[in-house]
Amino acid sequence: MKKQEILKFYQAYRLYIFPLVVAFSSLILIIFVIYPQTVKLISDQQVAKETESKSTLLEVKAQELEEYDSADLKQKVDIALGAYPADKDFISAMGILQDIIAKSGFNVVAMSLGTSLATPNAQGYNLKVEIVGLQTLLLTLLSNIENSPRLMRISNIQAIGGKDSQATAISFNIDVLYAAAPEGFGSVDSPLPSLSEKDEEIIIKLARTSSTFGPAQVSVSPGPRGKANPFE
Amino acid sequence: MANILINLLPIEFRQAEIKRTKFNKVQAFGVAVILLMAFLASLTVALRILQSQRIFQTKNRLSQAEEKISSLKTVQGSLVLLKNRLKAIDQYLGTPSQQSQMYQLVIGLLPANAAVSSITVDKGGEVIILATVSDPSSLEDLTTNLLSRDKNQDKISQVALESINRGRDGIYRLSLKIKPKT
Repeated sequence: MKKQEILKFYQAYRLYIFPLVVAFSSLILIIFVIYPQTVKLISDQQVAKETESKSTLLEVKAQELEEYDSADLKQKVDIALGAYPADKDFISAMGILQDIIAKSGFNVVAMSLGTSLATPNAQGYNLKVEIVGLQTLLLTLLSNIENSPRLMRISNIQAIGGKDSQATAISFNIDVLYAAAPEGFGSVDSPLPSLSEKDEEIIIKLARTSSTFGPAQVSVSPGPRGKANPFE
Repeated sequence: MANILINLLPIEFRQAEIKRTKFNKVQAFGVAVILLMAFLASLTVALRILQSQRIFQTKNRLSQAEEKISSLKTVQGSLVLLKNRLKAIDQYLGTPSQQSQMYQLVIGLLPANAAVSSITVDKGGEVIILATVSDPSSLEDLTTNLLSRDKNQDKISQVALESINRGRDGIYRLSLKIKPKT
């Protein structure tokens, strides 16, 4: 009885009821499916693009890292650290300096720690060197020091003696430079620095000079230090 | 002779027919709208599924690449350290200090007859020379060389003759202070 009444009511007003049902269904579909899915699609499109580019970037980086010969890289790092170490290396620097002075034709009279650093914006320590030799060879010595396998800068020069004197007393101060290692070595997604031709040239130059003036770093064997029991 | 059409159907029938035709049109349009909405809904859902799959695959590739980079962290560290060192080394290596340059310049400008008793180059690059010169022409050569922009490579800003005296032996003893250009 009720069903028949509903059918009769529908038949009477179907011209209005049907469009209303269609509109309501469409609205439900739009509100609950089409709109949220489209919004998510657009926002995820950006995420997908970013993830894709990051993935490509990291794949290229991983490939580049794999291509590096770690042994060769370690050797280059050793050369670079020998020239510009991360901390004070008095013994090594004095050894190299002595070698350079001797090979440049001078005799070392005294070598001591100097006072302040003259090189601006640099970290380092100062060495005061007193030598004896021909003043005509001084230019070669200065050039050898500033092109040595250890970063050194002349901060002052004093030469006493005649131009053609056989033994001129020369004293000079040298800034021996060092710098602490960078705090971070790069995150996973940080860009990878590449070695340019100039960098390779510097390494070759350093390697060549270190073979002329001895090894840049004095290797210290990690043996036992001091006495086990100092009261014995 | 024109045909005469007479509709003998009752008026209620005619109205019902018009109503049915109108409803049929509305029904067709409504079905089309529902179909379109269903198509759009399924299309967006399908696209979302495809997109999610693509993102999942990309994230997998990303995590694989990250793992690979993490395993090569020492190589990256070495490279960063090497680059850091080389940047500083390049700044200094082979570039003579101002003190060396001034020493080289001044020694190069001394005439043959001049003999240096002492030469000092201080931290600021200032040069003090105590020299002896045997004749006035050499003295003139020395000052001309030091003051000439072409010869001093435009590296000297000031030359001060601190003292000069001529001994009984005819030799000039002089003290010069040379300031570099900053």
